[in-house]
Amino acid sequence: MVLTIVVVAVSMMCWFTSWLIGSSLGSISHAVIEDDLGEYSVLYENGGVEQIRKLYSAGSHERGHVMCVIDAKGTDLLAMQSEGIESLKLSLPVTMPDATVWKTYPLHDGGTLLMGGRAMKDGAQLWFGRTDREDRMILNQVQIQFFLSAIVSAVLAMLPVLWFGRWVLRPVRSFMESARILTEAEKLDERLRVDDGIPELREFALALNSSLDRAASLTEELEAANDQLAHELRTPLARVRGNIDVVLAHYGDPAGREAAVLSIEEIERSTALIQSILAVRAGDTRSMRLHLEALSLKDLLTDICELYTAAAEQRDLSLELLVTGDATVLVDRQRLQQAVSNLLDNALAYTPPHGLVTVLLDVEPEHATIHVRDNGPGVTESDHARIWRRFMRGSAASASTPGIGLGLALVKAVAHVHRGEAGVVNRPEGGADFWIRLPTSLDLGNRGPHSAWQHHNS
Amino acid sequence: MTILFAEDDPELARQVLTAMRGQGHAVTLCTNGKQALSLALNREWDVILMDVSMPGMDGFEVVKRVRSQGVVAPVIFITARADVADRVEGLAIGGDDYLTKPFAMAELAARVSALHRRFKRAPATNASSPLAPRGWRLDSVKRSVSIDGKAVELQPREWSLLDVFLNNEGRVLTKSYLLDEVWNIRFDPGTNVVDAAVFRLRKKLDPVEGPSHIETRRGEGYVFHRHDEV
Repeated sequence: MVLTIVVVAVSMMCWFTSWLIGSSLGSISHAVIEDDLGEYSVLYENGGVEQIRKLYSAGSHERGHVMCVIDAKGTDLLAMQSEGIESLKLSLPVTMPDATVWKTYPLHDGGTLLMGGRAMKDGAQLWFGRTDREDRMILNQVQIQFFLSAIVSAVLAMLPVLWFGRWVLRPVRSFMESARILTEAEKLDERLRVDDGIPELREFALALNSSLDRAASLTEELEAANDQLAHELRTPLARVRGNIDVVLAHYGDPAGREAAVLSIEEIERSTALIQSILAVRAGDTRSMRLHLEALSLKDLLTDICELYTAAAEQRDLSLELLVTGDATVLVDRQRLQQAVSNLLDNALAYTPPHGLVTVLLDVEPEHATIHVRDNGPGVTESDHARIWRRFMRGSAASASTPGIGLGLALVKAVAHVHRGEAGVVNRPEGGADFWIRLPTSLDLGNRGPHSAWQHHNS
Repeated sequence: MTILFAEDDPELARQVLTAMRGQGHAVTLCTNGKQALSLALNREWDVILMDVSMPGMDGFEVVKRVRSQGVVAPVIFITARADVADRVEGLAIGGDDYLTKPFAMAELAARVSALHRRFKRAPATNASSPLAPRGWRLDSVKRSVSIDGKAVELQPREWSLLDVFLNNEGRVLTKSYLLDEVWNIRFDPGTNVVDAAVFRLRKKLDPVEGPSHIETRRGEGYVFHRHDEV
């Protein structure tokens, strides 16, 4: 854009200047001829044609000069023409007024011959002329030189603009961009960019980044402690469970056995909780270790639906699987099945009897979407965002609904580590439509550098 | 059977030891990786139970070295690390099964005997079908069953579930074991999917009168009975 403006401006300037120079060269040409005619007419009045011939032959004449004298009867007394215009047939007027008469003749090479004539006292006519060949050559040269210098100066004039863009605007823009990313990021792992220009901005960014670093490291410490805690709880839970198993194996009193059974169920819930916390956390930090396999989504969903069929029947619900195609994707089978299973757990828990739960696989060229739809109450407006957060349960949940509020957080985490997304919409005909969208590309090359991705072919 | 058990947590070790010895197995306990390595290399074992995180040398490393020395005894890893990726790593190193803490003693027992059976059973004896209740006719090729001449329609997974029950007659099978064996699922679904599947299988197989073939033991799991003595 800028370049076009520069080129157009330079061209217009060149054209205008050469038009100016051209017209002033034209008037110079008239003056030169006028001047020469004056000299020659003095010579003619004093010594006749012979004087002119002598002087004209003795002088060095540039190419393109023409000199001719015609007597009162119209006979050529003298006709001297330089090369290139001999062939020109001059037809000069017979009578002349006192002043100089001007005539122009087009030449073969595209130029013009300008002739000026004057009447002498004896009735003869004196004509002198020159072509504009030389003028045009000069004009051309001037044009070229002018054009070149205009380009050079235009480029020089652009330098400060470029400098401004490169060293002032761009760093500011990239700074703003990284600030925008910072405010939108869900986690503390984004930083302001400090690599380019402007010392003041860099200092500000460094200060802000170092406080972000501190916040991140504190959060990390806390979360690492949580992970460690979750991890370390497994062994004591195992010990407790082992002992309760012994009670169940050796103790016959029904009340005692019931207590043992409840304890085991409690331990199983705690184990599931620990497992979910670790998985959601691993998904957050993208450190979830994946066992990736190339799998048919249709097969994966067929398996998981088959697993849930009996449970749906028990609740008087219909469970159906609809597929619009199949996609082979690189996924962690257990993780993805767990995500779908979490959605099915919710659908089964919140759909009233005689309802319909539909698992739909929608395959498009770039991605495949797994929908779990029900015709239950749907998701209220205020629940839309909060149900995806950890330990947040929807308003439809009651104390008797199973779950601890980690199911959807896990769904989101699993979708994220597979470079996908998860969400929910209410269906116009009623009920909720939870979805997980996965990219169908099998390319592993674009995966993030932080992740400990594993790929086994088993 | 002879079992080598490497576990550094004394309480858990004591429980497993008691439970396994109670079932008549000869269990040798060791509490660190180096000891486990030398025991695994120098004696013959039917099954090796290996804790993953141990002082000295971790379980993965022990098994890696043991396998490189040509020891083929089946190995079950016991670990607090539940990631599928960890499990895959364990199996890639040369482990045969993987159990996550906390676990039911019944599950450990089921895995040990399943592994032992798989390991001991040469390909030749594979054809022998498990002992079915009286009046049942099993066709393991067609995966169908008929009871007293009446054909019973079974879904593929229902057949797999029945197959696991028949192969473990009289033994407690935990839900997590069934989920893994039948559905290849290693997480705990929030819905009672196993209960529902067992309930449906029961409806198809159980006699109109008399006790069910599949007994529910709350807090433990399910036990299959042939009831042939009746």
